[in-house]
Amino acid sequence: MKEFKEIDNIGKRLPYTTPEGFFEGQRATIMARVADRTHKSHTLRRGTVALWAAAVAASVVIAAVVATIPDRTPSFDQMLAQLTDEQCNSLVASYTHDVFLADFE
Amino acid sequence: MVARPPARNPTEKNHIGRDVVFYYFYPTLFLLLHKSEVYTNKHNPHRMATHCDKDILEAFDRNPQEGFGLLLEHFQQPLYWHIRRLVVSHLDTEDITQEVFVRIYEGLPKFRGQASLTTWIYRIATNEALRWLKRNKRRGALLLDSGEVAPQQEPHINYGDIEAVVLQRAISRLPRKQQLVFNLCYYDELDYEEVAAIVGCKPSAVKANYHLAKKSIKEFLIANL
Repeated sequence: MKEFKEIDNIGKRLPYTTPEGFFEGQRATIMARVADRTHKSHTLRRGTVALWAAAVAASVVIAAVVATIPDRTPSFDQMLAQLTDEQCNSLVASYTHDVFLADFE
Repeated sequence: MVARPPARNPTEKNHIGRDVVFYYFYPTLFLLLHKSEVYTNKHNPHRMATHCDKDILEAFDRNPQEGFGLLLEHFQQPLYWHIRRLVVSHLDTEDITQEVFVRIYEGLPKFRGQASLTTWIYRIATNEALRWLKRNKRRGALLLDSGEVAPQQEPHINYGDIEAVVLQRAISRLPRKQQLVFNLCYYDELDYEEVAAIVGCKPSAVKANYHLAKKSIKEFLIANL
């Protein structure tokens, strides 16, 4: 004990009191609060795991669906075949006069 | 002064018994006493809590609820009184103490043992109490001045114990650091090193603050008792 002779007659006496049985009651309250927190965090963790599982399952389903959809985008040759002669001529004309494309020739 | 073995009398034949006592019995007795809880906890009840740090942490690893129950058993009252001496009001102390223990429970899995468990726990409690005091300036000191606030407002202060009330009033008027250091050194009987770790300063500063606090309290008591 650190000495302090001037307050020998008071010592460690405090003027503070607590209601009867306070510490026992508080202990129970704290344990209940902690148990509640633990339960909540477990529920939250379980919820998070479930959410992740659902997200992964949904991604797998979406990927499978996307994979089964046939590719309907026409190829360049198919597109060219669909053009009329007039459209083909105008396309060639525009390519001929294109300065950038001309550089490559 | 260095202890010397009893001088041998050359005429005395049976000096072996005295040597055994001096060289074997005394050191053994010292070691036994030093290791026993009776010796280590004679002056400081918190040594027991420090002694149990390992037990509490091991119990917490095995079963968090059980370990926390053990921790609560050891620290509930010391922490309540530590906070109460700072905050004064019983109801506020009750709320803060509960919050402190919830924080301890949440932080215990991350506790790495850089400081002792006692120091770590006291630091959480001190920080929580200081945070409250920052929001409620001078409320505790006002509760101690029975002239300013009717005693009915705080039924858990014995205003009849004038000496104890005046002492608490003197402590509440100290600068915050001195107040903390005084309470931790005098009431909680913690070492200067432990107090330094809780308050966040050097042990020499704790020692200086403690002496300054004692001086101020002495002056206040002389003027008010």
